[in-house]
Amino acid sequence: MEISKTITNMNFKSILFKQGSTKRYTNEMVENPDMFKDLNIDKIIDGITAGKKEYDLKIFFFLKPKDMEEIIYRQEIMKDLQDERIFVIINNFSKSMLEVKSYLKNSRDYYYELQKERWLLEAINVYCNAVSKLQKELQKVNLKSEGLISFRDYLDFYCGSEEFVELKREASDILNELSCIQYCLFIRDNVIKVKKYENEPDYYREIEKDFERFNSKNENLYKIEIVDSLHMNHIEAEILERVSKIYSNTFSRLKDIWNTKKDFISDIISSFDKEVQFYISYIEFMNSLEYKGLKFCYPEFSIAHDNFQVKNGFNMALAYGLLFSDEPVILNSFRFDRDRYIMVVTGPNQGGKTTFARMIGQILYFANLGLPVPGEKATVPMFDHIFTHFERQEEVGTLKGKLEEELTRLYKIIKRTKSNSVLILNEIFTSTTLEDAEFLSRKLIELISQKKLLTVWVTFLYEIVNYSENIISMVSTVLKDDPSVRTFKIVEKQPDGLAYAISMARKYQLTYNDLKERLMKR
Amino acid sequence: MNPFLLFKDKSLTLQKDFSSRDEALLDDLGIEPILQAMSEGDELIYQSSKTVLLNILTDAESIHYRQEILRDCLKNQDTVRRFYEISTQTVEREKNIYFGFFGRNADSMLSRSIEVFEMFIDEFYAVKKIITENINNFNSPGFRNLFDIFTDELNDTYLSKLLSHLKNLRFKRGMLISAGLGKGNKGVDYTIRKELENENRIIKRIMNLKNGYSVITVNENDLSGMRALSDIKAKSIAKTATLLASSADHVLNFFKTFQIEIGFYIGALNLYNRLKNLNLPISFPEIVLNDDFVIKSNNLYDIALSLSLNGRVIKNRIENINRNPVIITGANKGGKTTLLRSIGQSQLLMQSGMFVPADFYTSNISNGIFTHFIREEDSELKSGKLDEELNRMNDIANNLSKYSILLFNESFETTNEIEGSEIGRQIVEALVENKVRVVFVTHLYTLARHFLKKYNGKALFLRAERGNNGERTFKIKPGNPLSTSFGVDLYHTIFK
Repeated sequence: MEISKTITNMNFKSILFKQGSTKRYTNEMVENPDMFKDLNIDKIIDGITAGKKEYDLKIFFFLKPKDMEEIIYRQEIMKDLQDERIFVIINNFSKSMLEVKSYLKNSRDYYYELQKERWLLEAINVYCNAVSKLQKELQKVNLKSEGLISFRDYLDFYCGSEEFVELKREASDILNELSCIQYCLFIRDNVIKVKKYENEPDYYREIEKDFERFNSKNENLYKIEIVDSLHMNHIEAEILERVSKIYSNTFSRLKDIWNTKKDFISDIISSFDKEVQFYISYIEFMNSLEYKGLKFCYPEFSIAHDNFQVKNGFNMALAYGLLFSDEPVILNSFRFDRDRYIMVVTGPNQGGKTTFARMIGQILYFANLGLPVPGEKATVPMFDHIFTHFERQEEVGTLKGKLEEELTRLYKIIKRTKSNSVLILNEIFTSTTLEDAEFLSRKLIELISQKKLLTVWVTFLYEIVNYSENIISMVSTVLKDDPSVRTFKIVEKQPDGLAYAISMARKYQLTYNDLKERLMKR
Repeated sequence: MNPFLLFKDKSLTLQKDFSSRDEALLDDLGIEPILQAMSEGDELIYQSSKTVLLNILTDAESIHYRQEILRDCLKNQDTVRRFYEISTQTVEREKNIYFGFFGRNADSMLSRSIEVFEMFIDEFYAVKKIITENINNFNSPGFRNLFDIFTDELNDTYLSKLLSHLKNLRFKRGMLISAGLGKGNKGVDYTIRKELENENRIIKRIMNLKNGYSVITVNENDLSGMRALSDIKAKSIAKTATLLASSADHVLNFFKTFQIEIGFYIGALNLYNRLKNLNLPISFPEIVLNDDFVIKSNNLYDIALSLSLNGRVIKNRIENINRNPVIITGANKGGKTTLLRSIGQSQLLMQSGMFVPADFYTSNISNGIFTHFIREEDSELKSGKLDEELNRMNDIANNLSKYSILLFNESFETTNEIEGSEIGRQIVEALVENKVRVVFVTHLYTLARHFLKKYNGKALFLRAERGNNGERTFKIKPGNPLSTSFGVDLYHTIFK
């Protein structure tokens, strides 16, 4: 038993990277920064990490797991952590570690020695309690993931060590003694006398009793905010000095701790504390969206790169932006079939086409990080890169210059793509003639077909859906009865080319029926 | 400690913002001139009366509680006005006690609170004196309970104990404080303590404060040291300062509430005197304790109109015994709106605990009083106005309950007769079937005729009367709707 424990200890490296070191990973943000921006993945990551700035987590969302095995490693840990009990245990531990870190900072930053010593003591005490509590509580839950189980084994080993046990006891003893100290000050004019407290009665209580009749329960209105840091001024320091002489025994034990125990945190625990935030932050992010009634699921992975389907997904960036609004988040489904790997999205402007395209990219990316994704059911492929081409508003110049730039960019992208790359195109060829655009689109489709690239293509050129057998036509829709109202539902059907024009007329009540009704009321 | 002059068990909080529905009620029933007559320019009485009138009582016991207090007030006008003066003066004096430049600092908060409290105790004695002199002239439970507060709770022994605490809290002989060690070994839980020793020992301790390791003397030129010292004192008295300030606040609120509540009765006295001077009838209403829809009244008049016409107004007689809806038809400018208003006013005043403008007024308690009056503004398109009307009706419906009374004045006439009647019919039938009491002034003949046929014996029909020679009398009497409008009358009056 003991031996097997030791062996598993050795096995635990990192809760995030199965192989331990992150050196061999490529940073997608460095590699492909446009994609994060175009798909609003940067905003999602900002949202996820917003409450966790102190951990510097973003980098973890840029490093893609190496292989299927690592994706599964993460999914399993995630599933464990989605168990409410386990989540609370880990999250409470993290909160305690934040406290430890802030106390340690105080022990470095404070000026008076007697304060530095006390802060170190507080840090040690919180740390020891948090680690023991974590160890005890993890015993009580049923862990299933390899990652968390081997971390627990490490904890068992660590908490049993003599050094840890001794540290914990000493810290709590001293702290207890300090908290029992009570002293008195008698102040008159500029003189203070420090003495032991000798059971003099509390005058406030007496006043409180005699004024009870006037108790108005609105004391909060008159709360005096004493703006005071925990730092001391020289008078307080002098008082503390006198107090430490009255209670010299306790204060000398405190000094010993200060001299010998400054470096008390285990490296493994320290990096666990940071890395586990990857999961915690994502769970909190999911919870906030689930509060709006949105659902996440664990994606399955397909070998075939064109087997990609999601039921009732949503755009996470949009949903996050609507967190405090009553506006509903529209759900959309899609399915790339065998041999139908080019998805062309058409329909009225402001109808949710770009949102839809971004959603597809987001789901793919986060699934490949080993995380749950929006939707009730999802099957996703692994990919090497998602390449995006979105219209650039800021790059103005001649129309020719713009088209040239666009084509150059497309060329570079196509060149970099491999058979398991994904391409997301948003409103390209808008700056040229229809004839040009159709021609270029036809050519682009040929290139895509050659590499069989999984593609999402948002465009107003609804004719192009007829260019290839490999195209799925998706259309953003409007209400049947009132075409000025967009549903933001994207459905698979043949393009409805005139919907936009009709909805515009409707919006200004200039259709035949509208106009007749308005004139009759005069 | 509360005066409880408006409710047996709670105090009135002045309401500053009113719903658009309440503002409409105020406007529709002509309440504003009534409030002006009550307040005679006193802003507080105005606000107090407005709050009371727009938050009606819905049980007989609460109404009687106020009626009895109001009867005491009518018997003791001078004494009651004296109470209003003292409470007003106390609130003023409190405002004038200097807050200090740093109002939130413990030291200045404590010393101000001490000063304020000493002033309050002063005023308590003033009120106690008036009560002692007049106690036998008051009979209402409301006033009796209020007087008990001053004679029992605030007895002389208790007040002198408070004065002695206030003196101690000036800490003339030094301050004893206890503390512990908190995070970062910073001093925490600063608490003021009471010396155990007798007077001599204290003086001796003060003498001993000269030397020894345990004594710290702050150089008086060490400004930051002196500040540190006063910070410690401030922390120690912070809780006490908060307690005293909040207690003072409680007493201040007592005086404010006293002022607000007695202010309403001063308003009632003012209105009473005005109407009496105009020789108009006034009576205390009689409450019918069942769920029927009863209104019986004689010489019922519109207060607002009578104030502007110096008392020369038409008075109506009405007798409704459980008919619903009451439908009022008849000539334009025939006094229909005036009758509707006088019903609304009486109901409102009755349920505020006041007297009513009539020889007598007998009615049930309504769960709520609502008005749906035609809007005078003419600028909008017709469709927008019906929209607006239905929107208002929707808002009322959101707030209606059984046994509420809803007064319609020329509603749904912004659209054509057929549509308006159909909308009105559907709405009124739904209301009546759900026991909402409806009084409906209308020109919509189709609507009125529908109820005449379908609600024969259930609805009450009143009509603006016309004399034999065609001139209007402004009297409303029982009468079925007539199909011809009275526009002919107007024609003859204008084109004579």
